[in-house]
Amino acid sequence: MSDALEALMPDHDVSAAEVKERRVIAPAIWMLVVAIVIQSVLPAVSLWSAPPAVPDLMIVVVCAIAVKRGVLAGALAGFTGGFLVELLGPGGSLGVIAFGAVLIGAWCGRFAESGGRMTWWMFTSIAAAAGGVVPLWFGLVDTLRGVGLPLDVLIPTIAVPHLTLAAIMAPLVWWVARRLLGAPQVVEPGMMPR
Amino acid sequence: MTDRTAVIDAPPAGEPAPADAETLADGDVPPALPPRHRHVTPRRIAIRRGVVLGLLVVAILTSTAFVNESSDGLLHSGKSGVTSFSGRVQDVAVAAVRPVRDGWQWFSDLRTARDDRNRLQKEVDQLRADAVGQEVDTQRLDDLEQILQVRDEAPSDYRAVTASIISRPLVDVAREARIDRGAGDGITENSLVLVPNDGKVPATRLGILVGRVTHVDAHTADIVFLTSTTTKIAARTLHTTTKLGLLTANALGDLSVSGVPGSQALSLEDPVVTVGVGTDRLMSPYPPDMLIGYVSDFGGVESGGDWTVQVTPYADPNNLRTVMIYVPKTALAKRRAGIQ
Repeated sequence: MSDALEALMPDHDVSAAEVKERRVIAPAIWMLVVAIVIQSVLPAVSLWSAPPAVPDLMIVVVCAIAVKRGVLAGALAGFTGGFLVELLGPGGSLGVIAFGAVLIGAWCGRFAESGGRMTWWMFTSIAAAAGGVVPLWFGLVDTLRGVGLPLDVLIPTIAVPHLTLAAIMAPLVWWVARRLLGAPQVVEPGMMPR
Repeated sequence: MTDRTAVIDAPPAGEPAPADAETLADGDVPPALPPRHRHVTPRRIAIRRGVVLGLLVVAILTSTAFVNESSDGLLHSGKSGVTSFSGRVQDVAVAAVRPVRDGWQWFSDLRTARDDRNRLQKEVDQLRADAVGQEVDTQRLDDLEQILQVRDEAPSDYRAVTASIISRPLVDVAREARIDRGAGDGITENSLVLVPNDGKVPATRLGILVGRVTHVDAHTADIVFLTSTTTKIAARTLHTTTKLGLLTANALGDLSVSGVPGSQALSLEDPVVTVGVGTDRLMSPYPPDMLIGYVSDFGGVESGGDWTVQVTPYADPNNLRTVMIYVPKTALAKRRAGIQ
């Protein structure tokens, strides 16, 4: 019986601290590391020059946590991740990316309970779509504020590069998620072992 | 261990435990996977919806309050506080991953080296052809400045601080960046952001203007580049005293001046500089004669008989890694920056 299968058994011989670590602490630390990486490493990794597209690793990680930990964890991960990247980075917004990431995380979290098999290419498709949606949402908010870019500029110069970069990063993130988070386990209030 | 996960994770009594299909060993037959959500209670669904809605409301309220409050408001102060703390972490992280960044930069440079070589060769040819004429023009301009007793706002009015760009926004709509220098290094709002001239372009004292500082924290500062759509700079060509008009940037970051009289003498490659004028109460943050770019096109006459002049910046802000910050030093420079 595999480790993942054992982890799903209600009476498996794993300590409560270990369960908590794997379900909650590991995703939290992962997100913090990703936030720092986004602000320090990724600005140098730009495959486009006008304007430079910083790879949105955070939204890919949010998708990964969501499909492994459920709706609530996905929404919380999206909220936290969105706030972190806006809080730590330059820019005149706070909460805009968080809003979009909450919806994406909550939607992706439904896969954790579906019981179906999530393959790497399915995850890549989802993450790429999420990577393209975030700039569109950001652009829509900027348009409402009167400082947005027209769609014919926003889509080819920002949304498409982000979508592509997300698709490139997604398989690696999925590999990390499978080893770090293990099998899908829905995390919600009242579900942690005492 | 008391298990309280039975609602979703654990199978009902009498059913086999579901296995994760991804982790089964080769040859294992995956057992039937019952849909896990069939055990989700209405109460739990209500909790989920409530939490998600709550998070969305908090995000909306935060973003609305952040946009509407002043720069010294609670949220901005909070962000500045976090930035001050994270700035040190960022510095350490940037230093730690510098070899990786440099490696990536090496590959990027390799990829663009051939294009750069061809472009530079063309520019060198052009500059050689213009060298003699520029020499004369430069001398003439210096003479005129002395005659007119134009105030010299050479670097003596500013203190130069070298800074590295450490971060850019995830979605860079506003053409902004963060540098690793802040109030602790004397940086103030409206300090000028330049890159070295290196003798590549003629007759300028302060290097090439690429932007200005818009926000300052203890250890970091945010800058906005001239290619931002918020840019409005009075500009003229170097060899004339007549103002072209307001230099603005479109959504793609292309610079242009609209409404230039069709009678104005223009030629391609003409350097474009700041005019530096304002009113006594509201001075331009940019001193005069700061080099911005060159006239790359001045296509068709508009309906009113005016030209639209396309300006290509000498320095592409997207490729910058290091910049010079000119911090106002004298009373005049501080007045220009609006800090006195």
